Amino acid sequence: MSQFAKDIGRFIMKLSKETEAIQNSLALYCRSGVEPPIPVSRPENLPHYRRLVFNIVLNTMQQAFPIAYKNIPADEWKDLVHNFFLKHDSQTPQVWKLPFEFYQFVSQNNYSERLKKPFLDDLLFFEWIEIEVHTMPDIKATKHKTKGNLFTDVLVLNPEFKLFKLNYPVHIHPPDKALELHGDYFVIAYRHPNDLNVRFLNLSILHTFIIEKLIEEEYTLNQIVDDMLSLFNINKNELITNISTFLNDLFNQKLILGYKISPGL
Amino acid sequence: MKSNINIGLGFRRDLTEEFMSQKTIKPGFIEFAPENWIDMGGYWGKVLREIETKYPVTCHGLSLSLGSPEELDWEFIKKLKIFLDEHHVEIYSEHLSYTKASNAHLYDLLPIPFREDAIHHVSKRIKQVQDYLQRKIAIENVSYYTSVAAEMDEATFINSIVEEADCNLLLDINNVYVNAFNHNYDPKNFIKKLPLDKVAYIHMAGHERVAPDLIIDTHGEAIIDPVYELFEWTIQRMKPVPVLLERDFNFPEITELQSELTQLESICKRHWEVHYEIK
Repeated sequence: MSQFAKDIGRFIMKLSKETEAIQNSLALYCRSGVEPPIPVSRPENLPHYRRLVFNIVLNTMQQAFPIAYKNIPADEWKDLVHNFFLKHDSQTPQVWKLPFEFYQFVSQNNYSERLKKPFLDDLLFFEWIEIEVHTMPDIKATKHKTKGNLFTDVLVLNPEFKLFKLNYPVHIHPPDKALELHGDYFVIAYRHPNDLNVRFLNLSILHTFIIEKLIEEEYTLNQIVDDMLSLFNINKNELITNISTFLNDLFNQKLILGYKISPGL
Repeated sequence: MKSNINIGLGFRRDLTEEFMSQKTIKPGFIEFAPENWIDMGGYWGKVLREIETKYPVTCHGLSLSLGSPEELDWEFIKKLKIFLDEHHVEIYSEHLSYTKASNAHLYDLLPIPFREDAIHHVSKRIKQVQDYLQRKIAIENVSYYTSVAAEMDEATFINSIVEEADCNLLLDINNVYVNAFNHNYDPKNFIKKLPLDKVAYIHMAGHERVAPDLIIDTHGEAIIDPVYELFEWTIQRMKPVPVLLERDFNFPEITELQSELTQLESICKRHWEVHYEIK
């Protein structure tokens, strides 16, 4: 290249529309299989690009969603991933986060109806949540002590969790069984601080209410109980017994870490 | 890195235990793909923190898409800078390719057209990233299975970018071998044309011959002898740089990987110990 050409090039430094179109058509070919109208030296090798690119997406989804993969016929699963790759513009530069975009694509385009798998959205979400909680950035828990009063101290929740609702209990049962049990299922997924594995807990509505209050880290259990008594028609003693058992269980399971230390102490 | 002879291995989660224990395998350094670790806490975040206390770290990017017609992803580049700084990454490299087009990531390396406008476009982007990261990037010559709308040869394309962007080169010897085979040229002549004084890092890997006239760069096999020979020929013409063994899947017994590291090390010692004083 001559010095003059280099200098001009540096001055312009813009990709031509033609080169941009060539690059886009090769990328589109990888997604769609539509032969690109571009000069290539070895056209017989183009399918390798399509194969290699698609296999990365296919393998990523298979690894992220092992239960969904087993519960959908292989050809339907492959078509689903194909449709996703063709119709969805993948946004994350980190391929391990792509399964979340896949879940969103499937649920927004009603594939659970099309594939006659009503549990599909819940199942993909549940499998994604396990990845998300397992990998989420470390979150420092609020300063706490291990001894305190269950009713008068503010409790500190393990901050590495996701609280969510499912319509099918795919977190408890295999998908075929879960299909027969449509309802409202409240679930908390959290990262155990000892082994860093993800645990799932099925929650009743009352327990979900308590967890939501605990998340705020402002209320003592006495305050939460008063709130509950004003909202629900429940016997106070039974409620306190129930909550005590529940919270002691959460302590044992390391979902509650301790008692909040007031700022300044 | 402490020595002139540094033979590293790409970190793979399947081999975490072996990397941690350092009993069966002990590379001189390890390489991470930052995309696979940025934002990651929990168990794998802990592994990363532990492993970096045991080895020097290099990073080899996957999704920066330097050759893309798209805008650079500055949100990602910001995270990348934090990651490289936090983990004391000594070398950061990326591919001379593109992985994003028409607003979609493809997660594999597509060949950039060997064209003049692409040279200026890619060089500008490399400079922008280097300025932001406050470090030089080593760009890797990638394997390609067809050239696309080429107006010049690959060596001219690479040379022009390295010069214009003022970046370093990651010389992937296996990719040179693969491309020479697939596109019927002489690998040594190709290497002679490259700016070897700009090579900051070398990659070595295995590949798979899928047809009589096609090799795919898989990183799933052992390095073959002709690639070792090309490596030995090449390093006699350049200063010592870190050398990395890439193995992404189809893992053999760990002793076989160690043997490959040892073989690379002995080749390096044969030439670089003679001509360069070991620090």
